[in-house]
Parts: sequence; structure tokens; C-alpha cells
Amino acid sequence: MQRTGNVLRVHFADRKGTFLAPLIVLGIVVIVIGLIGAVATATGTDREALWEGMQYNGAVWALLGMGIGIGFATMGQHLSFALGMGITRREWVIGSGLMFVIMAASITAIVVIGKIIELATSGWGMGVRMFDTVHTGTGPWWQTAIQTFLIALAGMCFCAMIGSVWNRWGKTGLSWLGGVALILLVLVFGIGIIAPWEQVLRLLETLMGFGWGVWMSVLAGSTVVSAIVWAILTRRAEVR
Amino acid sequence: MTTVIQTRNVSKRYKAVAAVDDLSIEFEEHRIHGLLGRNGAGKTTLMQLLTGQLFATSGQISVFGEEPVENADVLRRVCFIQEGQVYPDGFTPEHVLTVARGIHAGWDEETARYLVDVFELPTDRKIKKLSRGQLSAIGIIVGIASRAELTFFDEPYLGLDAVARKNFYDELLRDFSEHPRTIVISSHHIDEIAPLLETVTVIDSGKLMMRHEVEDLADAASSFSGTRAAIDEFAEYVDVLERTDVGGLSTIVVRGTVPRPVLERASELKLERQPASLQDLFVALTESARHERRARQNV
Repeated sequence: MQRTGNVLRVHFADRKGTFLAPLIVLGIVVIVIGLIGAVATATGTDREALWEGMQYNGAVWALLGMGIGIGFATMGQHLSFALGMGITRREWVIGSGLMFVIMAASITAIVVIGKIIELATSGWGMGVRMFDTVHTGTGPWWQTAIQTFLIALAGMCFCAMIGSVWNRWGKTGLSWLGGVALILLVLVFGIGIIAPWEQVLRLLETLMGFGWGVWMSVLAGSTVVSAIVWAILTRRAEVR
Repeated sequence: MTTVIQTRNVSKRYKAVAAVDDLSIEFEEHRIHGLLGRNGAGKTTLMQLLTGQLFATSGQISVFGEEPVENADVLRRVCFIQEGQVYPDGFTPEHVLTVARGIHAGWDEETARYLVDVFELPTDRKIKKLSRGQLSAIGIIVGIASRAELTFFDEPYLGLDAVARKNFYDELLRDFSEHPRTIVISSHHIDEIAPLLETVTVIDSGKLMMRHEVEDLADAASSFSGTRAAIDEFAEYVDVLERTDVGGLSTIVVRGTVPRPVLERASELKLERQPASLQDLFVALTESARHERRARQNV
């Protein structure tokens, strides 16, 4: 337990950078959204139309995207430092996994609190929104909580997994990973181009028709797979 | 004396390159060991293997009697100060000290603060804004204040000026005498660091070249100077590691103990004899190895 605490100490030693940075990012985004709302109000834009349109506002990704940085830094910067301090890879994965959960929960708390305020004030009094959007869910708060938590956690686990490929096989590993991703993309787009449009549209409709629960299960499954692959690769990862 | 580190035929290969090649060494407890070698000799790789950061391609490694890789019982007793250590973005020296304080059971905060003063380290400045010497100071402070049973210093003084390097040697020796533990230092400043060391291990191209007690170094090599003609004759009786010719004068570094009859011949030839310094011996050994490698490549 104390050794897991050591890993958390590595991650949270820079408290300002860890916890203040998301709040600064959030502050900047809120200011920008506020300015948009002020301009919209000043120019007499229809508030309902603005509210409707802003459900696609992707500003919340400024917060969610932090998971990407956290995942990469965990393997790219912190691992070498931690191993030098005598922490084992197993301890590193357990402690960092716990850190991912704490950070995803923190991001979730910000988004959910933001959403509750946003809904209570009818879009910050200006009809604008950034938390109650399709990206983190426009359903009840608990759906937003689950969706946000899973997106943030998936980002961290996936990027830590890519980082572990780098630690394990260096540039060669990343090249292989890029190659596989490229082949998959070509296959998907190739099928999209070759197959009759009706079939492609029907497939998209079927995919879009899946309920929220199915999509969340897919997201949760991807997160678990990423986390497992990350843990396995890290067991033999070397410092670069 | 208890052996803390033992390797048996350890190799670490990267495709065709052997960074560490069939290396068998031992380091005893409560001593300061010097690990010397040229750039790329395999010193850092060896230290990374001994601290479980890298996996050996073959051979056995034992630290405190156990395999170090993924062994928390071993690694909690070890501190590794690595050359060019990457610190997380946004970290200040204070963050590093905070982490080290929590991890190392033997951490001495008073010593850490004293060393911060000695090295005039700005603890609240972002690490990426520190000079190379200040970065080295962080490692030195952590390495000494951690009081780990086994501490590795990998080129710990890079970027430090002469005064700061002397401070490092003085403080390490002072702390070591008060709290004996096992220390392994790799260094380029060989003659500077020589007074600290009790044993010297020289590696080249990943292979062990020499392992000696420092107090026995006088027997490991000697240097003879004289006229070129006299040296030409004398060189036939001894194992010459290195030769330098300047004008009509020559100097050779000779491996091992020179037999009495050969010494008498040196006297007759009016050669001046001196024990080779650690630096002379190191240069001679590594140059000799380089010439042998080149000769093999040309065959």
C-alpha cells in the first residue's frame, strides 16, 4: 500500500500542475464561451436556437483531452524517474491506474457540476452550453457522469498503452502501430467507397441506433482492453 | 566481506551491438567502487541492469542476493542517480526532493537541506530552466540524502564547476564515513575521483578490462621514461600498455609487477620509474584495447 502511495506521490508531487492546470484550461474555455454568449445576446440571436446549436459544442474536449497528455506523460516522462527511484513496474501500473481513476473522477466532477449549473441557469443566463453536450451526454446527470468518466479514463489508458509500446519497442513499435491503424482506416474507407451507398447508410443507421448503454459498454470494454495491454507491455518495458 | 552485487556472464545486446558483453563482476558492501570506462563503454547500461531498469539478454544478476528486476525488496534499498535523468514536465527540485523523501526509508531531510545550501540549488525553479550543473546537483543531493544501502551515481558531476565537484567529493566522503554503505560511481574525472575510491573496475566495449583494489594499483601498472633507444630495448622485456614519444624521449606504461632483474635493467638504462596514475592506467588500458580491436578488424 505504501509503495502504491509512492507512485501517487510521483504523479501528484506537482499539485499545481496536476490540479490547477485543468481549472485554468476550464477558466479559459468558460471565458471564451461567455464571450460567445455575450456577443449572441448583444446581436439578438435567438436563445433557443443558440441552446439547440450549442449541444454540439466541443469545448469540453479541452478537459477530456487532458487524459491524452496524462496517459503519454505517465509512460514517457514519469516511468523513467519512478524506476530510478526504485519503484517496480507492477507498482507503477497499479499506482498509475489508481491515479487515472482519480483524475477521471476529478474531470467528471467538474463536468457534472458544470452541467448542473448550466441547466439551472438556462445556459449561464445567455443560452450557451459546454457541459450539457452530446460529447458528454445530454441525458440525466448520472449518464453524463458515466460517459465523461469513461471517455477520460479511456483516453488515459489508451495513451499509456501507446506509451508502453514506445517503451517496449521504440520507434519500430510505433511504426508498426501506425501501420496497423492505417490499414484499418484504409479498410474502413475502402469498404465505404466500394460498398453500395444504401448498405453503408444502413450500417451507419444501425450503429447510430445502438442505445447509450451499448456505446458505454463498448467504451468500457475498450478501456479495459487498453488497460490490460498497457499492464502487460509495461511488465517488460525498458527505460528509454 | 559481504558481496552486494554479483553478475555472472551478463550480456545486454541491441541487435548486433553488445552494450554489456559476458560481464562477471562483484562489488562488496560498505565500500566506494569506481566504475570507469570511455563513452559508450557500457557503464550506464550495466547500472540500468543492476537496478532492474533493463532486462539482461543473458547471464545472472544478483543484488543483495536476489534478482533485482521487479523485486521491490531489493529496489527499496537502492538509489540510482542516472546521467541525463528525465524529470516530469513542470517539476521543480522541491518536487523531486518530496518524492525522494517519501520513497527512501533512510532519507535525511537535514542533510538534504544542508546540501541544497552547499550547491546553492534554487528549489522552486522549474527543472527545465536549470543549468546542467544544477540538474547534477539535484541527483547528488538525492543520492547522498537518501542514505540508500546501495547507491549508484552515473556521471554525477556533469556540468558542475571545479568547486562544486570538490564539494560533491567532500560531502560524499563525509556522509559515507558517518553512514557507511555501498556506493558505485561512474566517472570521467578519474584522477579527481580516485582518492574516493576503494576499488576500480574498468570496462570497455561492455567487457571487463580490469578490477583492482586502489591500494594495489601500484602493482597494476608503472610508467618508465627515458631516451627513445633505452625505451626501445626495455620495451622488449615488459608488457607495454601504452607508449608516448616526444622528441628523443619516450614514456611507456607497463602492465603488472615488473620482475626484479628487469627493474635492474631499467636502472642500468637510466630509466625513471613512477607508479602509473589511475588516469594513466585507464588511458593505457582503453587505448591498448582499441588498438587490439582495430588490429583484429584489419586481419
